[in-house]
Amino acid sequence: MPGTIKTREKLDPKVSKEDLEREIQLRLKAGAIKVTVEGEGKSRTLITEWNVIGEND
Amino acid sequence: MRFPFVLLRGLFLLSFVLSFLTGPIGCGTLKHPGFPKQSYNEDDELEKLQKLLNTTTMIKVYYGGNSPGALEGKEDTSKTQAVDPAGATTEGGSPEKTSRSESPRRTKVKRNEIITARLLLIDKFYNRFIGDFSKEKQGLDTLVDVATIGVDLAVATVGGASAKAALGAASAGLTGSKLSFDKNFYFEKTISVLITSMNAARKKALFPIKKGSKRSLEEYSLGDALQDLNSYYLAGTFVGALQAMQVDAGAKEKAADIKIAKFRDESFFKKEKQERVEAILPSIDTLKPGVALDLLTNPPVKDDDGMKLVNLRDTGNRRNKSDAVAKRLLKMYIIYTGRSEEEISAWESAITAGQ
Repeated sequence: MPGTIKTREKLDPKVSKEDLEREIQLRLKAGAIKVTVEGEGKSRTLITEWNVIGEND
Repeated sequence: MRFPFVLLRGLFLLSFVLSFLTGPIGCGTLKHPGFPKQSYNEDDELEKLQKLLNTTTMIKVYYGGNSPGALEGKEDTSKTQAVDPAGATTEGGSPEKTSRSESPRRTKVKRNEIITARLLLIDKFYNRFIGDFSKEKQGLDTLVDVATIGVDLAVATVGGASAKAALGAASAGLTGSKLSFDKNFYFEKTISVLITSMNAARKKALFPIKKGSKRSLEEYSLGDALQDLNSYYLAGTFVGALQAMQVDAGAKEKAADIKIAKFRDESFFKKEKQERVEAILPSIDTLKPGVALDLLTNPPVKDDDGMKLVNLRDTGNRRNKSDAVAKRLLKMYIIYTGRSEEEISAWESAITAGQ
C-alpha cells in the first residue's frame, strides 16, 4: 500500500503566483502534507500530496 | 632452544589480563561503550519505575478492577457511585469535563497516565536493549583485539619456530572466533541499519499515540492506545525493524499518483473563493457526529476525482468508524470540488445545517 497519494492538476498559465501561494496554504490547512508547483507555462502543474489514512498518521 | 610450555601459557594469560585492563580505556566505559554515563543509575531507576508504574494494575483499575465485565470495558457503576457520587474529578480535585464514555475512574487524564507510564517503561527498556547490545558487540571487539595484539607481540618476541607456530595459531583462533561471532549473531554491519530502522519505526509508531492522547475517550479509547503502544514496542525490535524496511521499500515502489482531469483556470483560485473555502474548513471540526460521513456519502457537490481520492486515501474505510477520519477526508474532498457560486454556497449551507 502506498504511504502517500499525489494529485496533479494542470494550471492555466494566467493563474498568478499569489493565487497559487494562497492555494498552497489553503491545502495545507485542509491536511495536505506537501503542495508544490512544477513546470512552467502550459505545463505548469499543481502537485498535492496526502497521506494514506492509517499509514503515516 | 625449545620454548618452555609454562612460558607460553603465561603469555596467553598475560594477553587476556591485558585485554581486561585495557579494554575499558579503549571504549570509555565498559558498561555501555559509546554511551556517555547517565546522570542517574539506570538499572536502579528502571527497577523503581517498574514498581511505581505498575501499568497492569492501572489498567485493571481503569476498567473497574475485578468487577464483572471489566475485561469487556464495562464500568462497575456501583463502585463508581460509591467513590464519587457527585461527579468526575481529577486526582488533584479539579473538575474534569466528562463525555458519554467517561466516568470518574475512566477519564482522559487516567488514560493518558497509563499511556505515559507505558511509554516511559518501553523507552527505558529500549535504551537498555540498545546499550546492552552495544556492550556485547564492542566489548567483545575490544577484548579480542587486545588479546590478539598480546599474542601477536608474543609471536614477535619469542624464539623458535614451533612456539611461533603455536602462538600464530592462537592469534588466528581469536580473530576467527570474533569473525564467527559477528557473522552468526549480528550480521556484521547490518546491525547499524536495523537500529536506524528501529528508531525510525518507533518515531512513526509514536505519532498516533501522541495524537490520540489529545483526543477524547470516544475518539481514542484506552484499547486503541494499548494497541498503538504494542505497535510502538514492536517497532523497537529487530523483527519490527525488518518489517518496517520491507513496508518502506514496498511503499516507495508503489507511490500513487492521480491526474486530476479538470484544467484549473484562474477563476478557481480567486481570493474571495479561497477565503470562503478556508472558512468552511474549521467548521467541519464542529459538525455533529456522523454528519461528515453523510456529507462524504452524499456530497452537495459531486466530484469524481475527489471521490476517487477519498477511496484511495482510505482503503480501509476507517471513515465509517471514525468521525475524525471522515472530517479529514471531507476537508480534502472540498478542496477538489468546483468553486462556482452555487457550489460554494451548497457547501456552506450543508455545513451550517450539520452544526
